[in-house]
Formats: sequence, structure tokens, C-alpha cells
Amino acid sequence: MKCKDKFEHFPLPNANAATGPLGMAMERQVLLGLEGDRLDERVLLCAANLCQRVHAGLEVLLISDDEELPARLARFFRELRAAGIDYRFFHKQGDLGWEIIRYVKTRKNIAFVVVESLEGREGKRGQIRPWRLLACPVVEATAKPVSYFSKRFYTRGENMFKKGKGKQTGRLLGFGTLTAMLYWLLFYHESQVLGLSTQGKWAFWAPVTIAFVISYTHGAFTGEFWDMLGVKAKKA
Amino acid sequence: METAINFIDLNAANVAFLFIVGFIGGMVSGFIGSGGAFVLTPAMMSIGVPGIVAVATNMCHKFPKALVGAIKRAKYGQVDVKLGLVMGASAEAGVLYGVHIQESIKRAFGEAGSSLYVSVAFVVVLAVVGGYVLRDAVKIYRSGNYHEEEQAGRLARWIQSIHIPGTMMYFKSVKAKVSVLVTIPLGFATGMLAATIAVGGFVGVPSMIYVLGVPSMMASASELVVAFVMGLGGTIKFAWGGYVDIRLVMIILAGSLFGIQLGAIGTTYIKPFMIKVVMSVIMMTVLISRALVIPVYLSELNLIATLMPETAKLLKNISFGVMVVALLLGAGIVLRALLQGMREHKRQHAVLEEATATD
Repeated sequence: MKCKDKFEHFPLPNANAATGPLGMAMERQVLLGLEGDRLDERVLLCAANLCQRVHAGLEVLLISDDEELPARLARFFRELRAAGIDYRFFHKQGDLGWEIIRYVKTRKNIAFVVVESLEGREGKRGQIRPWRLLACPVVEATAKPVSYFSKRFYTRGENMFKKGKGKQTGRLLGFGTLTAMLYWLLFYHESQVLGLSTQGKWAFWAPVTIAFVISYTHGAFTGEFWDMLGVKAKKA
Repeated sequence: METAINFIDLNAANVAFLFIVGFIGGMVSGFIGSGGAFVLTPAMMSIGVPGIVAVATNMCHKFPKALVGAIKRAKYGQVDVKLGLVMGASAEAGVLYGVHIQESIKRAFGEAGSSLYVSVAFVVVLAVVGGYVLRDAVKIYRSGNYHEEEQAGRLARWIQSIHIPGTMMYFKSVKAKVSVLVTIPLGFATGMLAATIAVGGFVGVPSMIYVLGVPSMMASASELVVAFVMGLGGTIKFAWGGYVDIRLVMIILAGSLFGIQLGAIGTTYIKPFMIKVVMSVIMMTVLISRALVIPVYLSELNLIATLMPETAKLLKNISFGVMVVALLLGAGIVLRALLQGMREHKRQHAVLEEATATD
């Protein structure tokens, strides 16, 4: 699976299978598999972008003999925090493919696996291909950027995250303005609206419709409002 | 339709009051699953809104608010939609019956009679149910087992063991099959109370917890689905009679949609038994508030010796003050839980980052 595919249309495997105590579903995660000597910018951006698009947290699995955290990865974690993406970091030694398999088997909430490339990892004819054992899609952040992505997503990390923030501000202002306009209309024509909503009989549609419409715009506005202020649910 | 209903004139103080009350009611509703009506209905009555208009207006604001809250809590995996819809169906029947009773009382005894009926119903329900939930919350706290997963009580285990062929349904919140013949009366009682005093959640949530064995967190979240279903049905019924004051609905909704998001987020930071604590504390406080004002309505109906105007006013003011305390108490507990939880979560994150950086 390539990074360019539309994740929104991809059915999430076992989305309801992972449950914690009290039947609560565990937050889904994206697993980013990295090898210490291959930290391509594009795979980091691909993973972060995917987390934002499917509203998932990120679990980073680094396969490296070196115990020290690479500087680029430390910077990446700072960028994730700034973008409000929850993450966890694990360091192991061994083969990336098989470590990913082992990791995913112990975690029921991994929705996607992101790696830089599957080249050279497909296995020879007759050999077990580890990626085939995974129950979730594997996303390959290819070396060649696709034009659609190169403009929007293959930019420096902070710019990409800022674009996400800008979109959120736009939604907040949009819904806020719409809500304010609806309220202004309601109270500018207060007596007519009150008369209509208290008419009784088949005029019941008036208060019901007004309530639905304003709750949609105002509900969206308030959700974005608290999100912008950083008031978010605790992730499992 | 000709009606003798009195729709109040709005002023800045009333608007601000209703917005704040809506915000706090929404916050509590997002947290414990009740409609928030236990503060909203008395709050509206405190500023002169007739009982039936207060209930109808509350109903009309409840269903969109419940929809937003249910969607939010469903994202956290806390909602059993199937249970909510099944109970909502029978709750709808209860709502229709409750509305019929409400209208009959208003026709027979007027506004004072309707207000007295609502207040007495509040007191009886809050005393019985609130007392039981409070006792349970204290028991859990004293046992020190509030970190453990909730277990279904004896009644719930017995209910789950009943098998009536052709009526069984599996509910994920209970992790068992339960007969719909059990959910029907529970839903009906919830709906009837919701239509009578617009506070169905105070029967709905405890009945899910203690009768069906649903964990507190899921019970309070699934109740939002029930609230949406019966809120919509009840609104249509009340609006048919011309009782809904859409202006008040919108003012309350403006505040409550802010609050319900906050309350829903707060539930992700607390232990499940806190749901019972918050619910029972608020119920007992509002019970005192409504009990204080009952003599005023009795006096207006000439069922007791006429109270002096100053005495009646004093009782209403004290009742109002106690209700404000209930409001602030509820808001305080929810906000405290949210802020403490967020602070702790950030602290844990910082420790994790430190550990990661030194790995």
C-alpha cells in the first residue's frame, strides 16, 4: 500500500476488536518501523500525516544497535508534541520485519504499519514474506514523491503541521461565524420565531429544525474550540 | 392555538443566567449522562418560567445536546448504542404517558399545581435514587476498591441469568444477553420521569448500573442515546401543544454545547466510581433546593395556610441559592477532575519523554 492511497476509504481492520476494561475501545495507533541507519524525512512525515488523518497515536519502533536516540528522531518527537500527536517510543535490535510482526501481534490496536520501503524485504521465492502475516495494512513511504503529495505533505515537518493547525483555525472561525449569524437571525426575528414555535400542531417542525441546525454548527464550533485550547481526551 | 401560557420577557440578566446554567448543566450532563435538567428546569422556574414550559423547553434543548454528547463519548468507546436505542424506544412510550399526565395536571390545577407536581416528583425521585447511589458511592470509597473494575451487583447478575426465549438481546456493555422484557419497564420509567420532570437520567443511569449491570462509565454515556431518542419524541409532543420557548432553548444550548464537550472529555480522566459520587452529591443538593419551595406552591393552592409574601419570597430565594450551590458543586467536581487528570497526564508524559531521551 502506498502512502498516496486514501486512508479514509480503507476499512480499518478489527476496529472494534480492541477493547480495554469496561468494554472501552482502545485508541488506534500507527506503528512506524525504522532502522537506525535509514531515517528518511518522508517516512516520518508520512507517519505523522497518517496519524493526523485517521486520528491515531503513533508508536515508533526503532531497530538499531546504537543505544543513543538519533537527533533527527528527537526533533521529530518535538514536532509530534507540537502537533498534539501522542506517541510512544521503543528501541529493539534485530530484523525490522520480524520485530514488527512480533510487536503487532502483542498490540490489538495497531491500525497501520508505516515503513520507508519494502524493497529487499519481500523475501525470496518460497520464503515466508513477513508482511503477509500482518492483519493490518503496511504503508510504504516510497522514495519517489507523488506530485499530489509533494506540494501538500512532503514539506518541512513544521510547515506541514502548521497547515493542519491553519485548517483547524479556519473550521473554528467558519463554524463560529455561521453559528453567530444563526443566533442573530433568531433573535432579530424573535417575536415571529417565538410565534411560529409556539403555534402548536404541525408547526412542531419549527423548534425541532431550529434545534438540529444550530446544534450542528454550534456543536462543531465548540468541539474545535476546546481542541484549539488543548483540552483533549486522555488517550489510552 | 389559544393558550394561557406565559412566555417570559428576556433581559440581559436572564440570558446570562441561562447561558451559565446551560454551560454547567451541559458539563454535568456530559459527565454523568443525565439531561442536566435537574438544574435547568428549576433554574428556568426560578426566573418565572411556568413548570410545563420549563420542562418542554428543557426537552427541546436536551435532544441536540445529547446527540453531540453521545457522538463525543462514542469516540472514546463508551457508548452502547444498541442499549440506548432499545431503552429509548420504551422510554418514548413513557414520555408520551408522562406528557399526558403533565397536561392533565395543568388543566386541572393550573400553573401552581403543575409546578408543585414537578417539585414533589423531584423530591421523591432524588431522595430515593440519590440516597441509594450515595450509599453505594460511600461504600465503594470506604472499601478502597475504587481502582478496581466494577462488578455487576446481585440484582444485575440475577437479571442476566434470566432467559426468556424470543426476547433475549446481547448488549456489549453488559457482555451478556438480557431480556428486553427487563429493559422495557426501565425505559418506560425513564421516559415517564423525563416527561414529568425532564430528569429521566436519574432513573435511567442507576437502573442500567444496578439492574442491568452496565459499568458506570458506559451507563452514563449510553443514557445520552436514550436522552436523544426521548428528547426528540418529547419535544415533538410538547411542541404539538405549543409549549416550547425556542428562545430559551437556544440560549441554554449555546452554553450547554460548550459544557457537554468538556464533561465528556472529563470522563476520560476519572475513575468510574466518580460518576456515582458526582451524581449523588448533586441529586441530594437539588433535593433540598426543591423541597424548600414546596410550601410556597402548597400555599398558592390553598392546601396549607397562606404564607406571607415575605416568607414565600425568602423560601424561593433560599431554594435558588441552594440550587446555585448544586450547580457550582457539580461544575467544581467535573472541572477539578478534568484539570487534575490533564495535569497528571502531562506529568506522566514528561517522565516518559525523559526516559525516552535517556534510553
